[in-house]
Amino acid sequence: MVVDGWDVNDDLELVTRTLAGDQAAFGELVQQHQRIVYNLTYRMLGEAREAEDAAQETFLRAYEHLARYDPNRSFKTWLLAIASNHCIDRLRKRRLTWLSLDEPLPPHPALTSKTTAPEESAIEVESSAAMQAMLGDLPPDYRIVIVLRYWYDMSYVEIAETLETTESAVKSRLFRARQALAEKLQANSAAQMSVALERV
Amino acid sequence: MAHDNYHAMMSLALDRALPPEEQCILHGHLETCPACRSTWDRMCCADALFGQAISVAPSADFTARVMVRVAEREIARHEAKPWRLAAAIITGLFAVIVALGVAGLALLGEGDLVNGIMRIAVQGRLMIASLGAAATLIETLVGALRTWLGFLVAQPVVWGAAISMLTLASIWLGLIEALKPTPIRVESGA
Repeated sequence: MVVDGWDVNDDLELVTRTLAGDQAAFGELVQQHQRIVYNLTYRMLGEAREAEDAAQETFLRAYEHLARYDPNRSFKTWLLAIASNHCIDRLRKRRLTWLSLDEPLPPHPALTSKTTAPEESAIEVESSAAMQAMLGDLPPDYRIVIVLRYWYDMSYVEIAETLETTESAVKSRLFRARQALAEKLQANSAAQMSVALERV
Repeated sequence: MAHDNYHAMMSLALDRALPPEEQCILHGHLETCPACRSTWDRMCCADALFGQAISVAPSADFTARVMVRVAEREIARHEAKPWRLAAAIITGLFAVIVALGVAGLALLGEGDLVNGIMRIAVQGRLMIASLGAAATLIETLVGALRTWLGFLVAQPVVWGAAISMLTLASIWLGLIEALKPTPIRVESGA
């Protein structure tokens, strides 16, 4: 099966070669999947440096547990499952220690370097920052379902498989997450309205 | 809270997973309930915002960095092996001793177990005495060897022969090394 120009059988071959001791084969796997893993860690953690560290940790964990990988399962899904669990753990630790999740998260540097017209670029960055801030307000369990649904276009079944949960749990979390996002939008528009009234 | 059911239907509708008959129910409700209409509008707004989601990429040297960390972990894993082995042996021995103790206590009772341990201690002392005799024998042999080596070292002929042998061996090894073919280095990439 070919996905985005990449044959998933290539993953299996590279996994087999890595297990036989070929580290370069693992390098090819990293090269192929780095973007999807990094995008997830960035959307979950909201900070470029921490996201890169979490993405690296995801690949290291995959390398260490490669022998446990089930070839009947998609390698991409397996990687995203590792990344999701790792990010949720980090967020829980973070909440317990030093960072308030209420803080707005900065936009990714890659988003500011696009070669679009300045106005379009500004709108894009603004909406991306708004999106990231809204994501940052969601609890980790809700955030991950939104990321997998919108950035990876995953079905309920695929999300359930990635998060090792049931389809009904995914539906429920998506519904709660959307409800929270709607409330957040309502609060934001009320705040904007009061700022506008103050100016008048 | 009372309209949670309609909110759940909205979420399914956004994923195009709501059956047509339920869609009719939802839209009928939205026409009569302004609060749910407002929630629906905001859910659609969030859906549109997230629908434009842009994927971000890591830094250009990401793969190289991962591979450096993989190599570091491999080295650390190999270095940690003797410690792990020692820890496993100690833990294993401790577990065996505890298991034997518990089993002994269960099978023999406290008094018999103490007697059994005392008997094992006596046997151990006998074994140590035997080991002492073996040590004396080894000491004698080592003493004889030292005397013999001392005699050899005192002889100038032996010294001369040893030095000659070492010189010959060095020359021979150097010659072998020089005759070895040099591997050709192949540069990969531009």
